[in-house]
Amino acid sequence: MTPEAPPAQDTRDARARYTIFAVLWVTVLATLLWRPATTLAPSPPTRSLYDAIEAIPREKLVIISASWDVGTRGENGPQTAAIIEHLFRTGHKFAIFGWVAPPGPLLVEMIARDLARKYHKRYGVDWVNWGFKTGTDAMIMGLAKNIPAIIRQDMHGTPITKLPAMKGVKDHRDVGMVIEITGSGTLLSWIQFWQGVYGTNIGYCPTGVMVPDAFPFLDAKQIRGLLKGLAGAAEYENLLRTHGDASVRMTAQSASHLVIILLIILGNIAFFRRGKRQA
Amino acid sequence: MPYYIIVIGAVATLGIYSILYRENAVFRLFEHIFIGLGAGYGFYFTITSVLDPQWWTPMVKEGKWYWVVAMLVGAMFYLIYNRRLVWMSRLVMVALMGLFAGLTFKGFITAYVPWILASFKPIVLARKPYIHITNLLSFVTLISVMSYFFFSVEQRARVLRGSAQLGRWMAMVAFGAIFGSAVMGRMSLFIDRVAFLLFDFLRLAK
Amino acid sequence: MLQILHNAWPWICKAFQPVHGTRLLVYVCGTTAAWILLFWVLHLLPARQKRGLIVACTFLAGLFYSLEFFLPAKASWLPGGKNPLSDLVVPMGNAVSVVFAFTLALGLINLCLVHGRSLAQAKPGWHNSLAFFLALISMTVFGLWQSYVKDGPQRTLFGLSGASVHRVDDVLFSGLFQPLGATMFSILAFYIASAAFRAFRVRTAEAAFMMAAAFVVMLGQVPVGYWLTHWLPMPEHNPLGYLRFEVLANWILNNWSMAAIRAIEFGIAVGALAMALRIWLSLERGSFFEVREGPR
Repeated sequence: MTPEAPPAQDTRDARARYTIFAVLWVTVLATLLWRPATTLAPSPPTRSLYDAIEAIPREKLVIISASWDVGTRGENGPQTAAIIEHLFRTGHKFAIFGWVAPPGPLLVEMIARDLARKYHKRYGVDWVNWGFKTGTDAMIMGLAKNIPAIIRQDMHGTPITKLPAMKGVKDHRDVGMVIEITGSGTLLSWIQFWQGVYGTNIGYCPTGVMVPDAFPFLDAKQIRGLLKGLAGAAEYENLLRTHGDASVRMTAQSASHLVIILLIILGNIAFFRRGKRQA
Repeated sequence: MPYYIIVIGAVATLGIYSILYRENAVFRLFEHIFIGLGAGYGFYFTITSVLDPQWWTPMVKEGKWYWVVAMLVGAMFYLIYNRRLVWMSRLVMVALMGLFAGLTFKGFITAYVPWILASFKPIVLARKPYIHITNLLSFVTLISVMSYFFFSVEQRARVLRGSAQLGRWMAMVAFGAIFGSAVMGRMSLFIDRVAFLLFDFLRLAK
Repeated sequence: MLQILHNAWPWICKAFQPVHGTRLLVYVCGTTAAWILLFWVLHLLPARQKRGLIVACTFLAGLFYSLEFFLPAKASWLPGGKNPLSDLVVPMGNAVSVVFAFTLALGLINLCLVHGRSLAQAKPGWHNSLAFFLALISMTVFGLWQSYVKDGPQRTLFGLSGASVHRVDDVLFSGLFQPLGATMFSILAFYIASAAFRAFRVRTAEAAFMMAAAFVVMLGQVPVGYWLTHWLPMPEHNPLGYLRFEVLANWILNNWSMAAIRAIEFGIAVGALAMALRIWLSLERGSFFEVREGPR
């Protein structure tokens, strides 16, 4: 018995799907390889974050809240690299801290280690990794009041009292800024229990999906600045006068946006033409 | 990073992308490997980062015996698998939910009261132009969208219905912005993978 | 009542002094036995009283953070002149962190049950379940070995030296876990592209309005948007500059969309507050929140 051929509509749908996928692949491949020089002028939210980091007193610690996982590496990775590069340049000490996604602190540490070699920065002296802690809001609230009591040792098992970078760091008053780099909605906890209570400066680096949700916080001055996904990272690299991963990928990003716009237009043209034909 | 690790990563990447053609055994295999690795990583990392320094060390090495209660409370969650004793797991779950519910009051006031204050912006200016168009638009958008989502009473009054209709239009801009940003986010993730294949795996010039 | 508690506090603190050696073991085992005894007795209660117990525990738990917030930080009528709950915030944060960590195996047990059943019954695709277990066990074992076993010539794991264990861990994390996770999420780009062609239909004026905003935001954040309108003057010199894609996109995100999202979030926040109140006061109904009389 010969198998039945799939319905014509299914074959057409499959062909359309494969064509769309192929167009996307070819576009991104070509634009990543071709890559005409592009620059992205910094937008006001990006510039605000840059200025806020520049204004942090040198003796204060910066907390990099690594709330991202391997899935959002494409956006949060370049953001993290740009922020850490800036902190190394300004000489601010920072602590990597994860409380949402277990791989977060390790992923950020891998980026920090590469940049530490470039800027001759030492672990334990110029930066530390607190590792991952569970407990969500209750833990964040306790962290504001007593950091050594919550973070007893770093990610590698060293008691934090033995790390020079943690000398004198007791509570929220010793923290100059919390920079939340995230692929999920974790900003609210910092706003509710740090910024709203103690006025701690918060910087925010979300993935593209969460960018519109961040603007109410920016407008109410609850966050000092914001990186809008990969584009924000490219703008930040422009401010740092570097040409990192984000800048390399912006042409491909542009092309992919044009492809999506074209697909929406073509899809609607096809839909309305089909409607006219049936009428 | 050693090149053999990059090769393994490239094989894994292409294995997952095989789903774009159709459902196949290679994709299923890599999917299950990913779930296993993720579960294993979360498991061992929680032990080394949380349970060891925050529970075992204080209890055993520092002699703070009362930390055993945390283990007993945590263990009660596992009674969900026993039909007779499931009420005990509900006790701890609902108690924890109550604990976090208590946090909501503080959270609401510290996070959202500033929004109420920030919403009041000057609309009428002392000098030209006498109306701040942007602030007026923000205010009208805020009120109309809130009225659209107001379901507590039936929207019979014409003013309320008109405001809700306007709110629908205003909310469309936000949804469009969210969609545009979502496209940007998703494309970035794909571009990251292609960049990995081109620059790390195939070692083409960056 | 508060004054009695304040006076008894030093005695309570003495009972919680650190102990070591056999005394520690006795205290730990004693506490465990007392806990089990307590819940064995509570288990004998009828369902209605169990529910009352759950309601009471929920209310007391919620009272902690509520009172910590609503009571003043300093007042003469408070024991010791300050809010006693504020000092407990840090230990409570630690305790919650540890309790959450103990629950990590809940999801893991479910996964193991599902894949274990598939393997035991040799269901179609059992080799995928085998791969799951191999990945889980290898990541756990190599990770724990790296964290707790210090390198040395005598230290081997399955015949592998410390450096080799590190290499295997690298393969598992950097070679497999990272690329697999990143690729899984990146597949969404294709679904968005496919949906853009097949599903996004501009049938109404509202949909057209939404699409226009989406196009402006999409173009305003990438170089091609800058290039398309770079010939327009800057907004500081000429109001036409507000039609530049990047300026317009920023204006939409900062003002128009911001206000709409703020309105939506207000509604969500008030709803969350109401829900929190309902949970705290145990007004929620449903099978999760109720205790039914079951087998003893």
